[in-house]
Amino acid sequence: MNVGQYIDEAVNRFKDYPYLQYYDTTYTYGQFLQKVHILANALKDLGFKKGDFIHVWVQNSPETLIAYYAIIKIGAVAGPINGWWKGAEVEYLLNDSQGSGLIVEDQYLEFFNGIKDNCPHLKTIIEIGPEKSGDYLAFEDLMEKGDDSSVSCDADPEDTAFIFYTSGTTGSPKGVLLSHKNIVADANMINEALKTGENRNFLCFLPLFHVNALLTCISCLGKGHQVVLRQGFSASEFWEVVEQQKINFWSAVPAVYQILLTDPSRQKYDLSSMEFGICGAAPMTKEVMQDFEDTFGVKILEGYGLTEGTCVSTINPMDGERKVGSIGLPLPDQEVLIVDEAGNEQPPHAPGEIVIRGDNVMQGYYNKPEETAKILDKHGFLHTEDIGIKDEDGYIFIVDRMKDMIIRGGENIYPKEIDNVLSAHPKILEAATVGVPDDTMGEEGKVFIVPQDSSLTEEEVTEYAKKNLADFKVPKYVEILEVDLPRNPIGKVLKKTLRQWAEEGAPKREKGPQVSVADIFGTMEERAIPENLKGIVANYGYRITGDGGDEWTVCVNDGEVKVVEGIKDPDVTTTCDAQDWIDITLGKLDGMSAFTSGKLKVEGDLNLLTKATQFFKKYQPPAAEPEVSVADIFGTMEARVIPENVKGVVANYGYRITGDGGGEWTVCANDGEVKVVEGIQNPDVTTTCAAQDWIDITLGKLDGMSAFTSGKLQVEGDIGLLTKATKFFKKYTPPSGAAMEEEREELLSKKQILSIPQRFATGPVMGKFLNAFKDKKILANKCPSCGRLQLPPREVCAECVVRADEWVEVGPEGIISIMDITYYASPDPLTGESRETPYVAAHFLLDGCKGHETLWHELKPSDHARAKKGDRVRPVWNPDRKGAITDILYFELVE
Amino acid sequence: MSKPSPDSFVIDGKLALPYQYFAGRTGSRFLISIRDEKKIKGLKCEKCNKVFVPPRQTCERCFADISENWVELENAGTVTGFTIIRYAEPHQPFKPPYILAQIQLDGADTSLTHIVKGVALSQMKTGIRVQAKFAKNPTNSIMDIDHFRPVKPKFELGYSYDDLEIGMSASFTKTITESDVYQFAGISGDFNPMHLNEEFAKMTPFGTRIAHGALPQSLIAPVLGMKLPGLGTVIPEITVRFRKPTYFGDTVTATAEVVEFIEDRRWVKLELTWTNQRDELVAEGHAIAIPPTPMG
Amino acid sequence: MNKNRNVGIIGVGQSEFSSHREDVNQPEMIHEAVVEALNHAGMTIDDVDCIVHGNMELFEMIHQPDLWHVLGSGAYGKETMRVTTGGTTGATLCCAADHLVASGLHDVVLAIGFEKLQEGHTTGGITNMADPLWARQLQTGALTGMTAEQMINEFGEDRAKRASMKYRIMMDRHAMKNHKAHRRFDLQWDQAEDLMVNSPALVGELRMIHMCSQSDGACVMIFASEEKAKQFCKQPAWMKDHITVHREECFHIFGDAPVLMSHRYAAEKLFERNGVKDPKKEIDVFEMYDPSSWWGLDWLREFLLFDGDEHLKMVENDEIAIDGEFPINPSGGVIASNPIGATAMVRVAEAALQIMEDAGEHQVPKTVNQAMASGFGGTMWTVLFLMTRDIPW
Repeated sequence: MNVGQYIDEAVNRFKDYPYLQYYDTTYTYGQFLQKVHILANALKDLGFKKGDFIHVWVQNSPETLIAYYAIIKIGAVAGPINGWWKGAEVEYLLNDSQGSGLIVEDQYLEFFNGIKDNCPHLKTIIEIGPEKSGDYLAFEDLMEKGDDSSVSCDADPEDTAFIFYTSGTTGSPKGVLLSHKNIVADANMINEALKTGENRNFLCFLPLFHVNALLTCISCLGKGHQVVLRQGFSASEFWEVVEQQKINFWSAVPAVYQILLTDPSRQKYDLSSMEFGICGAAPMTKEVMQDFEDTFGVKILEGYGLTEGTCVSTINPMDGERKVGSIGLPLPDQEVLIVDEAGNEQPPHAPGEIVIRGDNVMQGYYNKPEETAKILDKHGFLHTEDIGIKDEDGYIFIVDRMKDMIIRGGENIYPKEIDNVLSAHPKILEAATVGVPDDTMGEEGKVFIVPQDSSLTEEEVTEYAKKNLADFKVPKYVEILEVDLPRNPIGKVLKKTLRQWAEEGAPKREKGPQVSVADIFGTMEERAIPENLKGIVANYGYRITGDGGDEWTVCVNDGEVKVVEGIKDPDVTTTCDAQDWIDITLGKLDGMSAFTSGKLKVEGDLNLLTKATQFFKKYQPPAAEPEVSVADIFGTMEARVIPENVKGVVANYGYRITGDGGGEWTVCANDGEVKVVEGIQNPDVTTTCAAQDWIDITLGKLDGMSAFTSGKLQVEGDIGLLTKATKFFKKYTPPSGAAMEEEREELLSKKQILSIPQRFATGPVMGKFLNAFKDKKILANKCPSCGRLQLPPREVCAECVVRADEWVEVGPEGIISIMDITYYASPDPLTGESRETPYVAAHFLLDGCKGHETLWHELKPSDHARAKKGDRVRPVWNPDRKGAITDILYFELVE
Repeated sequence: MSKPSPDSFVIDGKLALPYQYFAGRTGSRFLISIRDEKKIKGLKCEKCNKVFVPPRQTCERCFADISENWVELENAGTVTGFTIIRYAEPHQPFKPPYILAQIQLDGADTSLTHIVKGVALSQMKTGIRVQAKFAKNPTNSIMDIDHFRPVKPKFELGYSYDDLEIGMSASFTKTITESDVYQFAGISGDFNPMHLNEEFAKMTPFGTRIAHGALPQSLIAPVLGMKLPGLGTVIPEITVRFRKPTYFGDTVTATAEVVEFIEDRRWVKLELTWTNQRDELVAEGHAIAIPPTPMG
Repeated sequence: MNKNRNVGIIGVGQSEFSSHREDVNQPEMIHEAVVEALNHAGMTIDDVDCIVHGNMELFEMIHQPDLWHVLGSGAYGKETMRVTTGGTTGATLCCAADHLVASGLHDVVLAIGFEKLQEGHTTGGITNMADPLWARQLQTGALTGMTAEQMINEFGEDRAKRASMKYRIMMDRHAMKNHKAHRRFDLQWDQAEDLMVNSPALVGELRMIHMCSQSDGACVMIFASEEKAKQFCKQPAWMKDHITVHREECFHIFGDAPVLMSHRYAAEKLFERNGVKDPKKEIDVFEMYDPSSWWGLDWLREFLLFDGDEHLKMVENDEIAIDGEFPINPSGGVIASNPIGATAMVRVAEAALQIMEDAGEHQVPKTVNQAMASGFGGTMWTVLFLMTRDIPW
């Protein structure tokens, strides 16, 4: 049977049952298949055929499943792409598979557009999204074709159905080829192991680009289950969905169970439909498993599998004993053995490599025969490179990863054993050991410690290890970390990164503002928000350990708060390391993660503690001066460019920064691109400023205009250019100031531009003056009392207030009486553009006028450099007459 | 009017006036709470016992600074006034016609101006209960509350005193079967053989079994309690005179009609009649009803 | 000239002046100043009979701001009037408040001037609203270098530039003593040469450093009848007289004529009717509306009715310094803080504070018996106030 037939058979049996539920949309099996057929026909029309590789880079959505199934239906190979991957990784993948098709969701287009020119094998690209970019075929358009005639899949069971790329922990990503047979076999095995009835509701929030989610969705077909699909996991949504969709089972990773356990919002919901949860990808702790089962009365089935083994290979039985810490029993029709290096099966409790054989084992890695040979032996066993043991009942326990094993002077050391022993130390939260090369011993152990209590010393760790481990296992090197262990998105510790850290040193905690625990408790009383405290009477004890730690009690009494030293009659007691407590208070460490990871421990009434998060206003650390250098500011400029604001500007900006830490830079803007180079090169405008002032301006402490006004910032060249430049860059955030920036209260504002039409009537006097421009004449009117001329004319004399109705023609030539060179023009409020500067406005004494009888107008821009008082001028008439004063363009010098 | 001068003309111009309005700390907190927590908050003046929504930093009455006295309000309230916008103008949030209303949120002393949707323009009235619906895409403005919608009551109450009119009537009809009578006997404990024993009944004036008098009488209960005045009604008094027997298989119609207002107590009197399929009057009487008061 | 009854200034409040008041909206900013003025007068809002409120509406695009501002002004249920002269509104507010009390209509009047320039686009506003036929295309807002040009022609380039820069630095030294002032650069005397060359030129020799700021801020004053003033205040500043003079906003912006005849006319008239023979001797402090240091310098001659270079000498000899013979703008003046709708009121308020001896760090070191304040607006509009320590009438 091929996967296409598997789908068809399911649809025949369950036609009108719901298959896929996604937020507001539900498809029955029949409706879903119809969609699959429409896409399958459209893909055929596009020329896709059997054996073609078509990749799918789409987040969880109905379209993801429709795409996979349609691809399978036409006999092509579906290639899911990991949504967490970035451009370079995807580029590698596309060139490795040489796939000819890609279905991509618009959210990834930014990455894709960056790499598509390097992917020559792609022929057809289909985009999914609410708005079409227009660059590619639209998925929606394909679906609109609507040809839903049945497409039957003629693939042989041995033909490839999926190519899954796994990143692994070493080397380049490898394409795992899974055949139709693999998929159908694993789906059937899953159904057999889970022993669910038919038509149950399965919740899928894990990403569909992993086999775990995908295979469960396929196996659901076999039992007529409904898949309730969500984009991702969120605790609050989880409860809601369980209630609304009557969820019976789901699949998750351990972290999800931890979050669910600690999320209090579940109390509002009816969770009676829940039957069991599957857990994989990483081991679960006994406490979490027990707590979860006690709290909800549902089972958690821990399982194990590899992409290379299609999906699941072992799982704890639904109806038999479930052993904590065990990955359970092999699935029916799979052989899962523990073997030694020679391939002989090991007796119970003896460690060896876990190997798997069955119809679920992959065909191989695509185009990587050597890699395939390393992992698939001639007997058909898949070598997992995991070290495990079996107990006498056949339950398998994982001991460690083979490649993590340290071989020290010929002795095998399993780092996990060391990690488990050290984690039991009360001051240690987590330990992770890796091997580092050593000239004498070949390899030595190095352990990285995440402390529970920052007073922990390396000596203490070594001493404890010596007491509890055989001598050869005691790690030679101990490093206490300031940061968390490196993890992949599903929470696995990345040993590869740790080995790198061992070589290059682990990263340090980011320096934040200087904050003490005493400050935090000292300001609590004044930070209390009385209304949130109303009605609560309780004592909160805080045991803050490590450097700067102490004990406090926060006594809440119906709106009032007192903080006292020591722990007194606590209703709930929180234990936390000083540094972690500071991080939580500053919002750098989220309280819930601290709680789930065990950094924050609570005894007593947990609900009270949850409430307490709303008692206090945010803690504002005393402002620390961020350390900023001028070089930082220029160094980050290219990264801070806002391209659209630089569009159309081609100019070099020179900066001469004087004093300590100063230097010279040129910021070269070239139509949207910005390059910053050292030294001043062909500047169009040069800014000179002292280093400290420049830093203050950049940090917003000194306003640029004030600096400019007061001469602290000096400018030579085109100042208009400089004004523009203030919009080129995003705000500079000092390296350590980021946290402080976020602490600032958000203040809202609203911008609007009102545009108001206006009509202005000239009246007869101004109208006569302006109309005379038609005949290139300039008129003035004369006061009968003082005899003075007015230009432009007014109906009455401004001084004598008598009617002035005698008209006199003056000029049009005259002389410059007084002039103003204007260097600054305010930007137009609508366009933000300023007129060109400098320009000259002047009073012109036209022929026939005397004294102060001048006309105010502009001088021709090109004349401004040589013009002086008394020079002779004539008007230049505007060919485009508007009836305003601008009908005279300007006055120009008469040669 | 003076003669227009040949020299006068008109120039068209345009003013562009950009501005930005700072919400300030108080205004920002109000909007951010709506935007991020979907909670409408007000500021309370303890002295005047007034809650202002939108929040005001100072109490307009006593001029005290109240900027820290935040109170959380229900996201529901009562419409205290409204108007219908029927003209179109480019800055309007919705296409007209739409309802612009004053909404006094529960816990607030001032009305918030906002838009009400989900009710026909002709059905809009003051006093209705509405609930805030929040915007999906926040704009950092009061439109982060997208609009208000009527709160759907859980039950539709019957006619209130003010809704009732003289002459309004309602009825309920049912065929009385042998099994009804047997069950009624069980419920009431009245195993009188005239209802149950045909041989005994032959000796009575009716010559056959008849139903318990209270059985047809009880058919008035669904009328008064569920139709007129309807849900929420209390009946302190029913009087009945029985006129004719009800035989097995008779179809009885119980009818109530409003005949009188008892103004001082805001009660009503209803005339009750029971008739059968032969248009015979089975029973008659009256009831005093206390109609439901509208939920507020 | 005789008033119906005496009017005393008994309370002054000012918000913080700054270009960044995003933390408050308009009523909230006004509230800061109202509360300070009430505290200064030792009264509550209940003691106030009438509110006079003003600014230039279009600068912030708020329709009828006085209604919206009731929350900050305390005008709830009170008699209120709005003044939007839009030329030196702050000064007109003081005139209106004085009239309302002097007439006997009200005993206690609270006057509010405010501006939130950051919410509007003042330059855009002024430019757009200029005469569309003559001026809109030629306008550059309120800028002109004409005065500088004329002073250079009259007194020589070096002397004129030095005097205006000295005036500028002196105003900044004064502003350093006033913690409410918006721009406090801490300019030093030895920076004069550098600033004369390096401060960016705006128009001709009018440079950025010479110009006033654009500020947000509110100012509030409480005017009271003689009886109330004496009841609430130990030393009110008595409003002796004020005058408002207009001239047509002639020939575009300034015209090539003796520009501000309105200043000289106002001073002549005011001195004459109050018997001031030698203003320089008889007036102890002058809060002048000085939009730039060129104008401040030039207008000194107009207000003091000089002809020659006496005004330059006053600056050159430090006579206008806070501890000089004729102190000008101990507050730092308009150059330091310019919340437009409040600016002219701040002049009157600061002059009053000098009489009341409540100016704090920038109190002049002598008894102020008579103070003068000026307002200037719409480019041809002068308001001039005389205030006294002794009850005038």
